Amino acid sequence: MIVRLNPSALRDIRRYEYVVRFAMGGAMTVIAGLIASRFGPVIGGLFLAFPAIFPASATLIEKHERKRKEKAGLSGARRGKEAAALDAAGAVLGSLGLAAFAVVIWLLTEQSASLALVLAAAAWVAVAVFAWLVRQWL
Amino acid sequence: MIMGAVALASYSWVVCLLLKKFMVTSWAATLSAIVVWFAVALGASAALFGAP
Repeated sequence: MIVRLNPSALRDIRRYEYVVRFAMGGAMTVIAGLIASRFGPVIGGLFLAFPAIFPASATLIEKHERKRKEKAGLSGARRGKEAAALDAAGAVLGSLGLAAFAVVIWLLTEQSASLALVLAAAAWVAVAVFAWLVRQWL
Repeated sequence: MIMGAVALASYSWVVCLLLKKFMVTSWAATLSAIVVWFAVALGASAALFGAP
């Protein structure tokens, strides 16, 4: 499978759908900060990986796919759920990358915060892409 | 954050399963699986670092 960028898909997304995602993500970041200041960084860090944006994204993906099928005169219920399930499968791979990101930050941040951030981002890409390749191979 | 990421992976896997095998709606799958995120995140943190 070849990964492609399809900019025309951006036109299908309405403005409020971006607003929902940004608002949920931003709100969760603020909440994680508040939790960290009240309960400490371990619990605060947990909530940095809280699925705040995912429910809205999966629902919107299901809706878009269903509508696309319905435009073609077909029932898109099954297709919409399958598209959202694929998004969830991708989120599993991204989560593994996020765990690698967190491990690198945990190990290196005391030496150099900026270097830790760069290496952690590289670890995220490496682990997520590797997991995707393994999934393709299986 | 490491435990949160592991919980997020478990959560996403459960959502994928609910959507693919049980054909529930995205809203129902993503919201009901939040329980999984809390169970894994808080359970793993309590096991490793003690109760908050």
